[in-house]
Amino acid sequence: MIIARIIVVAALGALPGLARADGVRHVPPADADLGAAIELTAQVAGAGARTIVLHYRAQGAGRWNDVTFTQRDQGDWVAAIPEAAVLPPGVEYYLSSIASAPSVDGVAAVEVEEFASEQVPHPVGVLKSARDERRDRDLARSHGRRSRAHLAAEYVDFGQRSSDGAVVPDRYYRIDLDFGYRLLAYPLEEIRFGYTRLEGSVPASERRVPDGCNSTNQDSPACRVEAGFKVGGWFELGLAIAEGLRFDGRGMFTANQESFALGARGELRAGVADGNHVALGFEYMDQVGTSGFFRLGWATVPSVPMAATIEVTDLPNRIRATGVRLVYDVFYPLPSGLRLGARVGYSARDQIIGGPSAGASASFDF
Amino acid sequence: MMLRPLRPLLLVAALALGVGVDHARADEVVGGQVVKVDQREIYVNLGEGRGVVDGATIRFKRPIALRHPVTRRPVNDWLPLGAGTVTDTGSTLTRVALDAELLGQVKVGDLAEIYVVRAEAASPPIAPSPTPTGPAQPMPELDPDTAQVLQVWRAITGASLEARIAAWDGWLAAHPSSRYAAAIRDDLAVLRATHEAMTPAGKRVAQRRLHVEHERPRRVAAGVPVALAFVLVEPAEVTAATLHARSVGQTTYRRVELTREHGIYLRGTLPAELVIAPGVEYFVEATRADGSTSEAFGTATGPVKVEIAPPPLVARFTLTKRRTKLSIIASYLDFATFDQRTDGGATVDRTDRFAQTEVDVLYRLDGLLYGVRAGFGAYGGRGGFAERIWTEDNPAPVTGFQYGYAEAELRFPVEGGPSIGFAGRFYAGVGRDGFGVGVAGRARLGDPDRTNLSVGVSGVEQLGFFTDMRLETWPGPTLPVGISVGVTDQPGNGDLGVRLATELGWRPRPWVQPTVRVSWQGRTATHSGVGAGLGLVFDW
Repeated sequence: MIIARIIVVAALGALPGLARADGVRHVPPADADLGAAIELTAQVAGAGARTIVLHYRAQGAGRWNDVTFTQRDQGDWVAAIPEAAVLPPGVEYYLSSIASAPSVDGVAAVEVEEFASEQVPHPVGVLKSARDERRDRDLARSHGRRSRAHLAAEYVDFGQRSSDGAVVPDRYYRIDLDFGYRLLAYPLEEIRFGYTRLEGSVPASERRVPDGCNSTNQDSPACRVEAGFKVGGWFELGLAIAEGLRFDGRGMFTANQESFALGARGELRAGVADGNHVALGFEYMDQVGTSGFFRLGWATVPSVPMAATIEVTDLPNRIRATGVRLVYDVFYPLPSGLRLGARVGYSARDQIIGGPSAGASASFDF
Repeated sequence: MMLRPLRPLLLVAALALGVGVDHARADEVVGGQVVKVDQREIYVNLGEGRGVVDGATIRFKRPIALRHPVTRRPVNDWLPLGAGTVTDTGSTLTRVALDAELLGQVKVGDLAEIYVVRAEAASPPIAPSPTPTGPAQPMPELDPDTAQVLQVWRAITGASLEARIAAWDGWLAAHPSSRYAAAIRDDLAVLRATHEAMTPAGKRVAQRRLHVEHERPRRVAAGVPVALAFVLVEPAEVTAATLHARSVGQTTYRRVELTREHGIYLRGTLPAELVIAPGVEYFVEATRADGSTSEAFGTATGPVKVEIAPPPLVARFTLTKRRTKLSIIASYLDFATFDQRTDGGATVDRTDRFAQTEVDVLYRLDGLLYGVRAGFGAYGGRGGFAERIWTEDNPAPVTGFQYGYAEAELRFPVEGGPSIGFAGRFYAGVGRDGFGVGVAGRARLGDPDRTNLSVGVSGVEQLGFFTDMRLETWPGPTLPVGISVGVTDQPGNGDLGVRLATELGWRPRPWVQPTVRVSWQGRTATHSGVGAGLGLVFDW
């Protein structure tokens, strides 16, 4: 054992790291809270003969800031990194000492590093609250923009029905104009206000043109029904149950062909609305109809996010049979915050007759 | 090579034992080997003829193969095991008594050495060979890094394993960025493994624990290295320290040498790859000058744990490559190609066929939910019966369906075996009778993108059902092959039929795969036909 110790000591005799075992004793903090000063404490041997200096800076910054340690109540020595400097991702520091009095031979005192070093300082991560970190990530995804103005227009044709010379369309158009603001006050993530106009014409029966309709009376109310509403306002809350899982709930107020009516819309979505996501939702508008949909969005093609939607609907009038819509969306986001979209699809209430859908959208984030 | 390392140890040993070396006499170190190990004593192939006498002290050493820290050339060295006393000397063999601890360590083949004092005069010294004259060759200058490594190497030659480990640990703590550090780390791993193997469990004596002061992180971000600092409480007793870290759930730790600074500080970094949810665990082990170690902060069985929040759900939808798969499939099946039956010699219409086209997108997710798919399809068929004859008055029934579908596949990993997956699909569409729905399910054994075996069943209103068993394999790296056997009553809920199909694909690039399918299907031996299909898959 003694021999081993002799050998090890001989081998390590020249190692600089072991040369000093006194000086400044300081237990470094592992992390710090955002906006709170970091108080550093140290026990200093021979404190009267030297001055201990804290050198700190933001991680990766160039210039060091210096703070001299002071003794607290004849005990530990303390120095603090001010709260204004405690910012993410962190700060870094090292400690040094310098003799308080000049040396007897007149040579200027040399600064000695006591903990860490200027070349390899000690980093201290600055922690944000989980809520703040989530808000940062959400804002990063929206490029720091909280507001969005959005306009979308769509034309949906389920095919033209004819019988005994009567030709009655089964179609509608829809315009949505809305404004959204990302509150990021979790779980309330976003609020939206919007206006919707939806108008169309359909045969006055479940699927076919009603019996008795012909070319002379095809536009009468007995054969053709004007459906939808001119004015519909709505208010939507985007509730983020978790980061990446959100429920959008909408209440609608419409003035349709007959009276004032209510409506609602809900969408449960996992993922990023403008990117990769899966969504399941419904929309109900009194006397207009009900829709249910499933949507898969993918943003794996660079700069061109897309989505495929399968929708089951009886729009634009609840008297119509349930049909299916298969819709493909493609978007083109621009760095300015403008996002353009195009939509094509196929709509049918049975396998015999169907029609195309087409639409366009534009949104602007600011 | 064997004798050169002996000199420093002999000198050290001689000094330690108070034995003077008298070079005026013909003293000799005679060497042999352990040839037999009994329960109480051992035998060495040295006898009276070599000058061995009863009562002499005999030392034992274990050969060890090392690499030179600078040249990396193989070097044979030895490790001291201990000493015993010669109890019985024969002509060629010597019996040696050992204490129980050493007896447990010494093995056949270990080296044995006895310092023999001879009475005869020493041989006249050999005259030194003449030194060649001429200009002296300048010795190459060593850089400080190399010089220090060689200094440690020379100092520990012939030393115990513990001393070697302590010396290199200490050197690494002070020189973590040396160009020799990687090689020394490798050598240390060998030394530690050897030490572990040579140390009987019962010999590991508990020593007083060493300590470090340390403030642990409260929260860390996943995937980011974490700088840690420790303050030695007993700096004089410690030569080096090691951080042992692992992700929560791992069974083994990774070693990270801590850099010693300013005498009392140890600094190191938790590697980013270990900093993953649900957390990272670590403890600090300090090495004393005698090579013994002590856990100084946390323990191997009770490490410090820093919890790491799992990535949010949105992270699973983060944009990455190879997430999306677009599939376009078209197929045509004829059940009556070979049905040549006539009615009174006249050709009859036994039309029985359907065609189907589907386009879908699969988005792959990590974890239990393997993927989500959305797709559109169109289906058209005519007939569906084996024995019916179609006429103008009784035309073949027409079936059609235009639909969309959504699918989710769960995948359960199986340790040591292929994963198991279950996929569920929901259809919504319109047929000739209006809106209809359907469902499908598939159980899969194996990776959906590699060799797998699956069983599926589907039922759609107005169309009928289809069930199949399918094997997909990759006989070549770019050649997927699929074989399936299916049973169906499509189109239009007709008679049962069987379909045998083979698919051959080709993946010339990782992102594209065209596929050809051929099939035979029939409802009876006579009512059968062929089918074909094409597919195109884009994977990006």
